[in-house]
Amino acid sequence: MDTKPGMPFDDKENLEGEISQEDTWQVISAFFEKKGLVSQQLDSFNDFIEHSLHDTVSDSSDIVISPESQHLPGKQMLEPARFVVQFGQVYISKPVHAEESGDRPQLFPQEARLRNLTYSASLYVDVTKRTITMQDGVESETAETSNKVHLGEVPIMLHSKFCNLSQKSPKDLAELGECSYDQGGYFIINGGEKVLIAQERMAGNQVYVFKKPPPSKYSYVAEIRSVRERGSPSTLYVKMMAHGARSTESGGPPIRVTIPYVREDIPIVIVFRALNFVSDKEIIEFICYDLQDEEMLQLLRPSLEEAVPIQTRDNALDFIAKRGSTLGAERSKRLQFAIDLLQREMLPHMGVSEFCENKKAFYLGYMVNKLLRAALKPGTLDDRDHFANKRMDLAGPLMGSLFRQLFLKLSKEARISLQKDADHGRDLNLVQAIRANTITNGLKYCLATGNWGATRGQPLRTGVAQVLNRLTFASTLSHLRRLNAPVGREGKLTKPRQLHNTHWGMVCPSETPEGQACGLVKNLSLMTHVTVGSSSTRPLEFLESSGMESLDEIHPSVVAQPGVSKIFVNGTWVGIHRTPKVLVERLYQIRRRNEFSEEQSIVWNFKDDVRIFTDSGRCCRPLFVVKDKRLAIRKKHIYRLRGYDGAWRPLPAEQCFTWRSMLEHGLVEYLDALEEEYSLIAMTLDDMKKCLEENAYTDKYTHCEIHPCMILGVLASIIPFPDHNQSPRNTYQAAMGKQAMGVYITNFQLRMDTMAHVLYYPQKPLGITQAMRYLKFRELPAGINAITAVSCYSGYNQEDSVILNQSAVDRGFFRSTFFRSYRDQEKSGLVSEDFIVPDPATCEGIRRAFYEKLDTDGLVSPGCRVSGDDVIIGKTTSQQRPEDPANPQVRRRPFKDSSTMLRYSETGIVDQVVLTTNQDGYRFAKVRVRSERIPQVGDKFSSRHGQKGTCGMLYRQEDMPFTCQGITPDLIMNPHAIPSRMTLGHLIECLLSKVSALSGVEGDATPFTSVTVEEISGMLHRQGFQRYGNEVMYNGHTGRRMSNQIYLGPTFYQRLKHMVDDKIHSRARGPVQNLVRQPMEGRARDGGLRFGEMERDCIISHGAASFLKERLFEVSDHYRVHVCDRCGQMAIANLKNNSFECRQCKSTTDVRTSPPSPLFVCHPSGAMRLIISQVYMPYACKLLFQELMAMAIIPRLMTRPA
Amino acid sequence: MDAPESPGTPSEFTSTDAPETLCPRCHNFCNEDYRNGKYVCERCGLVVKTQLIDTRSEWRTFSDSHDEGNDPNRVGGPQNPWISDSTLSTTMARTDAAGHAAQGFQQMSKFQGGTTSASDRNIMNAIREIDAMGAKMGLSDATKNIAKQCYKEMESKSTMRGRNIKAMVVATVFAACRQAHVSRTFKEVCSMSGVPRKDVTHAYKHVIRTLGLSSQTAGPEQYLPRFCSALRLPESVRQSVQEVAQKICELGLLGGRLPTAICAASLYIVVHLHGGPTIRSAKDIADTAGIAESTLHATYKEIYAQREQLLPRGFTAEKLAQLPVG
Repeated sequence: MDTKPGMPFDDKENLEGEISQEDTWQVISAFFEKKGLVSQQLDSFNDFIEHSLHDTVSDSSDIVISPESQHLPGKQMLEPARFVVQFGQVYISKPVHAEESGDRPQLFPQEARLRNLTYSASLYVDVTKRTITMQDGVESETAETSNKVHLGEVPIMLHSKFCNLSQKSPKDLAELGECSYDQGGYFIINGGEKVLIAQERMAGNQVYVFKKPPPSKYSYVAEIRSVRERGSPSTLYVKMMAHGARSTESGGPPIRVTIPYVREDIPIVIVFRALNFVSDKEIIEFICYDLQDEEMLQLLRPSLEEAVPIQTRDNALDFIAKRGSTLGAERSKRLQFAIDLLQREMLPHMGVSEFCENKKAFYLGYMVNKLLRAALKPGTLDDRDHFANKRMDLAGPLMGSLFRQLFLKLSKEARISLQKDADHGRDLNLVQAIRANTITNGLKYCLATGNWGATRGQPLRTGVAQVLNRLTFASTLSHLRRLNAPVGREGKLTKPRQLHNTHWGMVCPSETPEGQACGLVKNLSLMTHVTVGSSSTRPLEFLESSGMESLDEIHPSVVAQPGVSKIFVNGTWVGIHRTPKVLVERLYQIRRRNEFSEEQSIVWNFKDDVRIFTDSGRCCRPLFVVKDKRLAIRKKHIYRLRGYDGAWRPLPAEQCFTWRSMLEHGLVEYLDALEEEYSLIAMTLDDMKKCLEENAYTDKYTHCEIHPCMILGVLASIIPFPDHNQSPRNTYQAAMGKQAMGVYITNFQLRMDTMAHVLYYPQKPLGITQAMRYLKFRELPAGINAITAVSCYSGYNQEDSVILNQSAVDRGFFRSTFFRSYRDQEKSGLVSEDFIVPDPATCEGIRRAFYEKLDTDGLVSPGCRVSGDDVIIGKTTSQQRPEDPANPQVRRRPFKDSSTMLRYSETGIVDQVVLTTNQDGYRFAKVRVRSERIPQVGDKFSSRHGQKGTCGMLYRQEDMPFTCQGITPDLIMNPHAIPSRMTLGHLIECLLSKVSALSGVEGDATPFTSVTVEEISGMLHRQGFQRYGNEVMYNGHTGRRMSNQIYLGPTFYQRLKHMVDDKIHSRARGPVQNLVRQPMEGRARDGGLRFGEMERDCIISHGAASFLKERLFEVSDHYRVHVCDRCGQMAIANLKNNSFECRQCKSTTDVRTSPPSPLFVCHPSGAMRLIISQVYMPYACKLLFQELMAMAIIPRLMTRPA
Repeated sequence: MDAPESPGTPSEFTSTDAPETLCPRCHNFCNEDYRNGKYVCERCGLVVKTQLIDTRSEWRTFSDSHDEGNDPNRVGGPQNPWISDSTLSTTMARTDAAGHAAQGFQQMSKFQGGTTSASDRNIMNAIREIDAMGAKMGLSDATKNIAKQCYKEMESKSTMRGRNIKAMVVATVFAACRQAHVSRTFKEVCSMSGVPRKDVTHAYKHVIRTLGLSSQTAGPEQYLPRFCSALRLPESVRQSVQEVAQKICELGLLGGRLPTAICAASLYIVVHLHGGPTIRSAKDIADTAGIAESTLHATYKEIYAQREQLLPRGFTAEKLAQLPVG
């Protein structure tokens, strides 16, 4: 890669020459240098702060308040005045933390993480209050502006433009306690790191035509979700009735329209008439454009016939209004209602002002046209899962919509408060009316819980914000690039889950979870760019100046003329153009000079449609531009990218190429999924070369892939030779890569994560992929190059287990540290809490645990060795409880113990203790405990090919097989793991790693390259080894040569986080549940192991009744009750003084005369003889009886002595 | 994100604790052995009770869990600890099951609202006020809790009759600030709440008297971080200001002046000693400290004479020439 400048050359030929495959990596490096791996998050958030925030506030309507006249005896009538409150300029600070003392120091993320603060910046707004008073019929106005009123706190995304870390050098970052590899893209809420997961949705302002299956009333439906650039969406359907569902006289199915706020579907022709296009001819022209199109006219005929009774505009408007919400209004009002409805609610993206009827008629006609064409030619239906029809809502749009809701709520609250002020004749108190907490808490709540939407009660979407995964560095990166499709997980439909052709290059084909969310949760490919979006005004201006005829200027029949193209901008039909080819060429030129925005997509279907998109959330990816059968990028550009001129002389910085300059020179450009559809993309540079040859497959390429391996996502890019594996294996590895231990971040010593694993001697893999450079996998690796033998050897590696080398383990092979943090705070309120060593004399509820390790401050000290049930945070809670007058002899102590103990099953050394105050002003402590985890039998390991296994045995080095060189494997995997799984990549990786270990060069295991096994084995052979990696080995136990040669070589293995020590569990006796008194569940609460239904069935089939009773009853919720034999209900028993009572039949025993046995007790008075039976039953049964009694059902237990 | 709950941590604030277990033989307190589910006497080793019931939460509800209709919760949220009678209760919803406002529901809800005791209603209102004020003033939960507790105590001593409730709330918040050593001036608290100063003074005296709180005042050092922060002064200046303010107090120079005035005067001196970009106008300083500009000048004049004694560390006497003449 880094060929040193050596050979001098500057012949012109070479500078204009084609780039090589190696050179593409320079281009890819330039891309990642500019954008990093989380740019979608950062760009989107920056756009939110820079634009959405301001737009929301400036778009908000003024608060107009006029005081209601009040009856206030003794007070003078107020002079009639009007107040107008207006929000102005918005300001945002850098992230700060408002200490209670009033100090507002700059806040840095590490402090926020440690002190459980929220990393947020303050938002301020200028508010103008205008007072309009009427005096003698003349209005006079006074304005008063309050500057910088606090509006709320907005959580800030790390490393965004508004973060205190932006533009900091790696050194500064290190001084601030940050990891320089961390790229941000997440928020810190109450000390927790939160990611906003991109949400997939259908694109708005697009007409989709779908065929409906028979039970539906309609055969075809054209639908559109029309959204203004800022505003709420409105959905419109144009539907074609099914044959036979309801036929008109001519026998065909009519077409209907569903308009918002109208109860019934309206015949299409009536809608046109309501838009003031009355005659049949006009309407047909809007729909068919061409009056010669017999087929289409025939389909339209029933619709025209259906609307015969309604011939005038007013009748049509009335027809619609009557089906709307105008009950009992007079005709003129009804007509106005219908006019407003069509203006505001129908197709609002085409305009909501007056005189948009023409445009709307055009659009409606277009929709019907599309519908009819689909009905005529069923191949032209739309694909719901086409990626061009999808948009991703990233952090920006998500925060934007939430902020809009919250701001509305805030101004609503402010209005109420101001109205009160005005009614009482007080001065309007703006500062008090604007409650900053609404926005602060609203944003915080959504980010903390992931329930998106300001309306409490029914959250719109759940799981939008998630806790950032910090298991390993790659898992963090992958989490920041995740996509979620909010489709019901239970849905049987497999279509939305499948990999679509249009996902190529946008979404990783391998990385998706298994099981219920399979295919719904996706991950961005490495080079995917999600558009931020820009306004459509500039492209519109350009179109107007370059020969576009707007819809108001043309007659519908023009559309059908040959060569004429409709022009859509973000789905809005803006006009037509007669020479689309020229227009599109010019648009391409503009984009390739990067004049408007590189994100703009220009799509021409080579016929009658030009579509321009500038909206947000489109996925697109960079490709090489092809000009005249050759790539636009040449060797000279690569030199400038490297910072040299053609003669390897360093260039001044401003002449060096960056990713930006590549875009500006039209060497690469972004294509979205729709534009890709109309482009011809060469797969490799070789394909480009071939197209210059004689009998080339094609020479019409428009673009060329930068490198096909960029279709993979973060975790799939870690797999060596994924192109040699069976595809599900790559998916399994993508899931397991997230559980591998490594160095998850370089500042792990400073962090207090709840749980963290750090591998002892991580190694960068011998077989690397080029993409790993950008993922920092070589800097922060998650595994070790283990010398692996593929052999059965002793049988302790059956069924996916592996044998480890005990001696290697003793030397530190796959050791790791496990950190766990505990935390607690001193709450205050009605009771007060204190970090202190609990004193048994004053403190009740002390547990059987070891309190002596606590220091006098109530916390353990660092370096202290702690084990299960040792107290690490001592805390007492004051008991706030009146003396119990019923039993004054019960001794009460003033405090209660509420200390934190180490988890029972864990041991370790106290690593770090933090004592500080948190957001709520409470004293707050975090204690981190560290323990060393040495590989042992039962721990889980995996290679990078979905080949996981647990350790089955550890053999010392002398018991391991050895080669003639004395090499022993670190790990022995079983050969049976290979054939059925077809993970050839595993074997090739081993071969390549062997070569690279011997030659000291990194092996390139990038997919879709020209490396072959033959080449690798040739190199191995040249190193003096057997070609295919096999070696003669000797049995370590016997010293005998083994009859078969063994495949041996280094393979990169990962240690997964699942370890036996965290799973081992048994229970004899222990705590029981409150409700049913059956044993608790789960290891953490020392629960029992469930003897379930299937186990029960098994025992029944054995006829082992006694055992069954023991399992299900005696060792579970064994319970004794006393039953009154008279009424069959449970009686009250006091066994201490042998008295019994049945409240239900009002009988008791007398203590003195009761016989020694509690059974069959006689009442001495003779009037009421209480007979009691002692019954054993499960507590759950007793509970059931009592629950039944609560529902007024009496279960009676009729007993008979055994 | 959540720290693990340690085994055996009892649920917080349980009000229905069973009486403590005593050993029947030696009457010693018994310790809970959670894992084996028993109570054991530490002295004689007698197992007093077995099959202990686990009192911790049985599950943790995650807000993003999707399985609706499978909600294991049998009870509602936590009780409000500030209300006297916070046993389980029934609340009439204002809306029907579908979430629509219905006439009957509104009436019943209103009727039920009438049945809660007056004192509880007062406390609830006061708590709402305190929360709103605290949010505006940037007070922490801990301080707000003190205010709430003060208010509840006042209420329980039934000394609120005939008082201006709003003023009482403001007074308790102010008292809580003093207790928690959070510097807020009387003036600020009053202007924040919109209650006339006279009423608050009156109410504050009443609170102090009834609760037997010491009427301690805040020293200038409590105000300084805030003022420095508001004036955007660097850390080096802050230290000198602290020093000067301390010296003024030690020398007893400004005995009768408000602590805020002392702050302002020390700020004025120090910014001029530092000179350059740190200089702030007398008006800015006076506004930040919430005093009149004339007060600042008067105060400054009083200490100008003793300026040599007030010189903070790191400054030479020549620097004093930079001070404006008082």
